[in-house]
Amino acid sequence: MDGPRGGLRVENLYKRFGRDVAVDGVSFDIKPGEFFSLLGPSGCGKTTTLRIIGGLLTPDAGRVYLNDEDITFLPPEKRDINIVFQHYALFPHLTVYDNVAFGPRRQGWPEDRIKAEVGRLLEMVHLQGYEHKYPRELSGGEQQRVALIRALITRPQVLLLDEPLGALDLKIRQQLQLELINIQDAFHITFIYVTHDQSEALAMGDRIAVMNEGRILQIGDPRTIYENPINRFVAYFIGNTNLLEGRVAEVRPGGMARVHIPGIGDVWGMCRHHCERLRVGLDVAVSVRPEKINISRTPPSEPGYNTITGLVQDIIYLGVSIEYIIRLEQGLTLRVFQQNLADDARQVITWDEIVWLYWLPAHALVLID
Amino acid sequence: MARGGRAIRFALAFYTYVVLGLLIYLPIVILIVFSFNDSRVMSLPWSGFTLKWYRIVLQREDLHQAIWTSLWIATVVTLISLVLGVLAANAMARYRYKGRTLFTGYVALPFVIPWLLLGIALLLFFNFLGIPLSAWTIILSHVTFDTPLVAILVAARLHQFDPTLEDAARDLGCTPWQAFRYVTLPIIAPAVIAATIFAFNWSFDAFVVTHFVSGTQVTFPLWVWSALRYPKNLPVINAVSSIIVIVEMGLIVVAEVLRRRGEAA
Repeated sequence: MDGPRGGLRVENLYKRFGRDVAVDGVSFDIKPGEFFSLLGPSGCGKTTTLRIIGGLLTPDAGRVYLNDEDITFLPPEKRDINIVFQHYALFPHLTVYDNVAFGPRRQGWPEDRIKAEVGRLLEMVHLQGYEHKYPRELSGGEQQRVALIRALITRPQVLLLDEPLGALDLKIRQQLQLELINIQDAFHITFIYVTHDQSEALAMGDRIAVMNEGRILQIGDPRTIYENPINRFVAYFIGNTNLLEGRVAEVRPGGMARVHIPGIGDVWGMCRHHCERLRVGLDVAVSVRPEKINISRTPPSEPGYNTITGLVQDIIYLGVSIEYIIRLEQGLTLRVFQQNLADDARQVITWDEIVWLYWLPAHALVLID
Repeated sequence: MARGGRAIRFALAFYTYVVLGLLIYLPIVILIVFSFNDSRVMSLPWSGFTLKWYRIVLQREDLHQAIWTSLWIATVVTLISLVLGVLAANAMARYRYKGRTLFTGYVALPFVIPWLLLGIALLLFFNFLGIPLSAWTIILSHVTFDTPLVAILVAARLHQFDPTLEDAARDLGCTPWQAFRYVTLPIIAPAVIAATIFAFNWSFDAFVVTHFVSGTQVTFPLWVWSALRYPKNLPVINAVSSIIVIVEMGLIVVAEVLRRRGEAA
């Protein structure tokens, strides 16, 4: 083998269905062996993008490159790319064994090699002895594992996963997430993972591309996407956040800005994207993650915080943390997460208390778009 | 509830065994019974058991010729209708395009036109084009009603077929034809087998349409029709009809067993 394989690049993909533009100028460049997540709400074009890469759809414009070779118009059976389908798409008339052996047989493997490899992979996903079962005899999680090894057995350069865990319940999903990561490590195959579940994308992806309405809004590693969202949509879609709409009152060098929020007053925040557009009078949003906000009965002892007061409207006990809904002036509410520390028990904050909320300007993002 | 349920069950059982049994199977049973009756007159009292009508069936060259004609015509018709019908079913069930509903209605049309009108229309059509009547005009005519039959039976199954399965097959290395051959066809096979048997029977049994377009060809139903003009032939017709009924019922049982095995697999 010469050099790492499985590098995938798409350039300006564009696809329309009738009048609906499903994919509108999508480009990205995925390194060999990378775990790349395509994240977005349903209907954002992520599955269409995946089907174009897999060859099941032809784009109206744009190019797909595998290891710098143009494969845009190569039929799916000639691409060294396999798909794990959303609803598994196991062949109902074939046994587990014949399902997994389907790809190798098309490639003309000798039957004894197929037998050894199917057995090995079934063992890897804890399904040994399932060879002669039919898909309808399996649980959702078991079907998912069969679909996964069916796509993996021929060692494609790229594996496309279309919301593979979407139909499973939480426990199995978390377990399979781990298995997927381990398998990806073991096989060194490029994974492109489509999901609408932001926590899944954060947990699994080396990099995440956030999509909406056919476009990619931001590409980055999970930390960047979470801490430095490029616009309101990304901030709101990834994790939880408080978006406060206001107007820039003062701009300082280095991206620091004072924003006037009606009903709350002025807060300081950091601008990290498109800051050249920042100027006094511009309408912006300030995004503050609920876990970055401190909640207390007393004001902060040190200066340098954004500080406001509010009324405890609701308390939601989540186990690992406690979520407070704090009512501010003018019908605004803020969500605040506090870690559930045992020694809080004696002085817990309760309903209808007036509390102080404070956070660092560095944790308040000024979003222009 | 329980008592009402029992009454309904009894009514259903009565309907199934008595009404359906009498309506459908009694005439056939009578036919078979009288094919062994040693009398030219099909009436009681019973005149004694005989196999002589079956011996005559074995000796009548014209009857053999007619059955042979029907068999090969039905075979050719079934093959053509299967290809055309499965293609039409794909067009009806799988693809979305302008005029799909119109196409579906157009495919089903020969299905709802009365046989008599269809026969007359086909005869006029062949005359108009100057096509001499022959076995081939019979075949063409049978294809016009067997194709919709196959199309409708197969389309019903294709409607439930998940097209992602074909995507998966393509993705795993199949050409479009291989995807159809290894995935789609095995899954719709029960419907295709059922369609094959029905199409064959429809062609083999077709009388009205055949009557108009046969020319000098004598198919089995046409032979029965002409033989009926001589009452002395009646017991022979009974005997050959009994054979045909048994063979056809056997075929359907075989097909059903195959179909169930396919579903269990």
